[in-house]
Amino acid sequence: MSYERKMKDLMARLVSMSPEPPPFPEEEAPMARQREQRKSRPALVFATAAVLVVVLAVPLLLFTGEGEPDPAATTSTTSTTLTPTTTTTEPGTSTTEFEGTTWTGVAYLYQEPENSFQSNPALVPLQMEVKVQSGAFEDVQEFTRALAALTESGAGPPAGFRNAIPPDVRAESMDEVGGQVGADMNEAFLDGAGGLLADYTMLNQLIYTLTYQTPDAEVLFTVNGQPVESFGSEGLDLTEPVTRDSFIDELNAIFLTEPITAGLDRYFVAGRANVFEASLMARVLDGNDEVVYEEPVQATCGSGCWGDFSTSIESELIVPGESSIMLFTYSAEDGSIVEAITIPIPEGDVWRLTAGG
Amino acid sequence: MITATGVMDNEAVYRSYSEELTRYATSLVGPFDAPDVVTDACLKAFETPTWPEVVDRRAYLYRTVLTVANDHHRRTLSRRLREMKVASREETPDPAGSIEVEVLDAVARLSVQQRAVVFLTYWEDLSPEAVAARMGVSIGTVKRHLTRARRRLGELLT
Repeated sequence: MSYERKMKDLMARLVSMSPEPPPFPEEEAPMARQREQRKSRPALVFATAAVLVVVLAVPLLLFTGEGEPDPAATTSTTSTTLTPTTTTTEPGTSTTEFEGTTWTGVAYLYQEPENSFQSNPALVPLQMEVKVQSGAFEDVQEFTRALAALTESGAGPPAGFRNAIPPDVRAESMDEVGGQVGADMNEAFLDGAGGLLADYTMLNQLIYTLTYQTPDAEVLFTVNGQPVESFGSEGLDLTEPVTRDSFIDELNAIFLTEPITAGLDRYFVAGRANVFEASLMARVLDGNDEVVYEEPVQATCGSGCWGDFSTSIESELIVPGESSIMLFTYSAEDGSIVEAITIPIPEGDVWRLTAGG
Repeated sequence: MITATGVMDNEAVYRSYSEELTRYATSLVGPFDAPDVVTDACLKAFETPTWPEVVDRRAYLYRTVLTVANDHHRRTLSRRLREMKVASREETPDPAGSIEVEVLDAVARLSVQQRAVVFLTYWEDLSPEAVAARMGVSIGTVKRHLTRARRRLGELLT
């Protein structure tokens, strides 16, 4: 039988399984109704407090509850800690019906680049949607407790994404006044992350996450309301406000400043790079890591200075849940691929995670 | 029903296309979820402000079904199959009464876009140009999806 005949036969057998058409839809659609049910509670809480979410909830996405998490707890607590490091389970695999609260936000994790000269970490912001199955949280602290359940249950970003912020670090309070974000941390913050590079990575994660909506803002860290004169293993002086540029040289030569987002028919990629001749490459890899598309991307500066870059890629080339976008540059010495980071595109373009499941 | 302006109302449109849309959705997400996808897609289309001005409503509905299927059910078919295999001796929903697991297994190897191209090419017998028009993509994209679908189904079809 020819290939074409076999394909027709396959389709005929598939179509023979087709059920009766549903009745004319006069009511709300089934899936739309489910989505609204899922959103109802957090929509009330978070849509009316967008600024609060930006200032508090976004950075606190990195935080988790202390001890055994109890997402169902109704009392507010200030005992919030930051998540442990790598998580490994592929998200979006839960099949149970969701009847809880959803938190949506962006957090900066990091990825170890491949073939990097300096082996500095590459920041990768992820758009996340976290569902808390058992009970609801009434404020960001409750959310952070739910996130503890998330990390402890093993559901989280895929392998390759990491978090340098130690689990005993807490944020006591945060505010934003006149372009300056204030983050009052607990004393565990002063110990840093256990090494100079880890310290810088921890700071970069916090600074970028805190300033996601206001990238030009300064961040002033305090502990018990006092300036931080000595931070981490090398005693970094944080008494002055810091910005996204303060520790940028401790990052990979290519990193992302925005989550990869899907537009109507294109995916948008944006970040910063300090690469030879400001030239880098963007690739689309399919589920088998085969290259399906490649294009050059030009940053605004390079060869010793940091530049911004952005590009967009046709959605047709990308299968969410399977494809990845790889960013790299070619070595000026031998033409090999260096400073490479690879970011999977999640289903629905959002990392959907379920806590406390 | 045809209105005074000669435009079919939504119910008439639905009656005209619901069967073929259900077959199409079956090829994209399997028989279990096809009705939900069709319902959601039609409502989505009907609620679109520009829907009354849409000239080729059939193509529009096909594209909307594909969008809804892609958004919500890309992995559902595989999941359903796993569930079926696990519960093979228990009662399993079988909306058509003739589920062929091996066929669904084969289709589950394809992306939703590839399933759409294969269905339109080999069931609807459309040319690449017509498939492209129906899906709202380029002919090159259609051919690329067909090539990849053939590769993914290769050993099954040789």
